[in-house]
Amino acid sequence: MSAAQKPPVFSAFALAALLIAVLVPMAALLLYGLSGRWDRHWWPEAPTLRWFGEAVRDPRVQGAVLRTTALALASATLALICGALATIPAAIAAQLDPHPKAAALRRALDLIALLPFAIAPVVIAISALELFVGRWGGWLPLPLVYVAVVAPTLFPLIHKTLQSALAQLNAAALIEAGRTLGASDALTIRRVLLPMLAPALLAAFLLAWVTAAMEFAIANLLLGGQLELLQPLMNSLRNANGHQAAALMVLAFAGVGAVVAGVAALTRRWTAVDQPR
Amino acid sequence: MSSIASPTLDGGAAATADAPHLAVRDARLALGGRPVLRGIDLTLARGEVVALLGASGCGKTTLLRSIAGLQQLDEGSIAMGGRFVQSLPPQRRDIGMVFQHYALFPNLSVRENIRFGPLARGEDAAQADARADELLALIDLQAMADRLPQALSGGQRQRVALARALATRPMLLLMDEPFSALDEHFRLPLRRQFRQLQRELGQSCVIVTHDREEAFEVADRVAVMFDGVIAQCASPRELRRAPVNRRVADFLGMFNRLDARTLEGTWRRESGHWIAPVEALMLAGDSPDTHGAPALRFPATLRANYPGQQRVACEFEGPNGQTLTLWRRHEDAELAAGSTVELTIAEPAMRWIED
Repeated sequence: MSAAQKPPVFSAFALAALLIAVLVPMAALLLYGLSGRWDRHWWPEAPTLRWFGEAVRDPRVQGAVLRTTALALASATLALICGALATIPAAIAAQLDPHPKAAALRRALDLIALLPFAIAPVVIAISALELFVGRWGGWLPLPLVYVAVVAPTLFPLIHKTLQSALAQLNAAALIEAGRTLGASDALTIRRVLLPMLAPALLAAFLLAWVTAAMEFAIANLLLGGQLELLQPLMNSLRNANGHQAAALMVLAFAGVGAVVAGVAALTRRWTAVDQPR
Repeated sequence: MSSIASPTLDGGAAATADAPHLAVRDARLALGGRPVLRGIDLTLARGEVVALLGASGCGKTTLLRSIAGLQQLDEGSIAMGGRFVQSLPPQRRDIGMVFQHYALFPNLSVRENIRFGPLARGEDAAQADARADELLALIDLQAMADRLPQALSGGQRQRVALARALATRPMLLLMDEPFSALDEHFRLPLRRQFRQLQRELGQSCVIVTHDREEAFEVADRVAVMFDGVIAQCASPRELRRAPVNRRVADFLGMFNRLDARTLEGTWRRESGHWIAPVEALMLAGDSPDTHGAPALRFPATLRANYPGQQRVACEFEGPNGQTLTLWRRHEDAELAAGSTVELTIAEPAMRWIED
C-alpha cells in the first residue's frame, strides 16, 4: 500500500481500541480456562486442560448443547422459511416494478427488519411469558413458544442477506429474460434464482443458527425453569466453577467462530462466481 | 410454437398471412407522471429490421419493452401477425429478446441457456437439444456449449444471447442495444454477422440503438425518436436524402446546415434551413467542373482540423457563425487554422427544410 492509500492514523487507533476491547476479554477467558487457579497473583497459575475436558464430558453441558443446537436449528429454519418467503418475492417485485406499492412493501419489510433491534430481548421474553404462558397459551409446549419467539428476532439477518444477494444477482433482469423465453416466474426462480441464492440462503441460515444459539435473555426467562440451554448454563456455571465456565465459553466461541468462518468462505465463493469478467 | 388466441385486427379468428408482423398504434405511456410514449405508430413487415434510434430518454427502450410485454401501455394497441397482444403477458407473445447486458442465466451452461426457452414452452428435451445444437452451429460456439456464461468473452455472450432469443423461433426478435456493451473492434464484425444471419433466417426484428451508424447498417428502416414520438421512420437512403425536419437532420449528424435567412441571393428564404450531406461541402478550388451549374458559395474561417481514422474533419465557421464540417483526405495539404477560404455546395445536394 502506498503512502497515499494508507488509512488515517486516527482510524488505525480506533480499530486498535476496538480490537483490544474484544480480544483482551477473550484472551483473559482463555487463560482463565487454561489455568488451575488465578487468585493469588495478577498472572494465572497451574496451566491445565482439565476444565476443557470436564466441560466436554459433563452430561449437563452435553444436554444443554444438544437442546440449544436443536432449538436454534428450529428457530433458524422457521426464520429462514418465513424470511425467504417474505423477502424474495418482495425484493423481486420492487426490482421489477417501479410502482409505489412494490416500494411500500419493500419499505415495510425493511422496517420490520429493524424492529428486533428496537425491542430488547427481555421485553420480548416477558411479553411472550405474559401472552403464551400466563394468559392464553398455557397449553402450548414451551420449546415451541421459544422457537416462535426467537425466530422473528432472526428475521433481519435473513432479510438483509437475501436482499443484498438478490440485488447483486440483478434478479429482475433474469426474471424478465425468463418471461420473454416463455417461462413462468416460478420456473425461473426454481431453475435460476434459487440455485444462485443457495449460498446466500445457507449463509443466512448459519448466521441465524449461531445467533439463536447465543441468545441468552429469552432462553433464561422463558425456559429457565424447564429446559437448560447453553447460555444460561454458562451463566450458572460461572457461580459454581469459573474456570470450567470459561473453558465452556471458549469452546462455544470456537464453535461460533468455525461457523462464521464457513459463512465467510461461502460468501466469498458466491461473490467471486458472480463477478462480471 | 403454441398458438395464441386473442382478438385479430380484422376481427377474424385467425391472423391473416399478409398482416404486418408488428403493428403498434397510438401507443401512449406515462411513467411517474412523465409522458414517455406519446402516440407511437410503427409497423414492421415480415423479415424486416426496424431500428429505433434516439438519444437516452427518448422512449425507445420503453417502446421495445412495451412490445415485449414487459411494460404495459396506458393507451393504444400492439398487434403481432394480426393478433392484438397488448393485454397478453410476455410469455404469450411470440417474441425473443436480446437484452442490453444479455441477462444470460449465470448458473446454466451455454447449451442450457439456449434450451431454456424451448423447454419452458413445452418442447421435449430431444427437440430442445436438437434446436440448441442447430443454434450452436449457427453461432459457431459448439466448443463452448458446456461452459458457463462468465467463462465467455463479451462477443461470445452476445452470440449466446442471440441464440437463446432465437431458440423458440419467435415471430419477432427484439434487441435492446445489443452491441453497446462490446468493444468497438468487436462491434462492427458482430453486427455484420447478425445482419447476415437475420437475412438468412428472414427474421423480423426491432432493434434499439443510439448508434447512428449501427442503425443505418443493420436496419431496413430507421425510426428516429425524440421525446416519446417517432419523428421520422424511413429507409437509411431516404433519411439521408430527405430528413423530415431540422431536428432529425441535426441528430443524424451527416449534414451541414445553413440558416436560409442568413444567405444572400436566390438562396435566401424567410424561414427554414438549407441542408446538404457533409461530403457535398468542398473548397471552391477543389470543386469539380459543373459547367456553370449553380452552386452556393460563401466564405468560411477554419476553426480546427480533426484528423480521424478515415479522413480529416475540418471545422469551419460559416455565414452568421454557423458551424460547418468539411471532410478532406489525409494526403491533402493541411489548411491553417484561422485561414478564410471559399466553400461551395453544388445545388443538387442542397435541400430546404423547415425549422
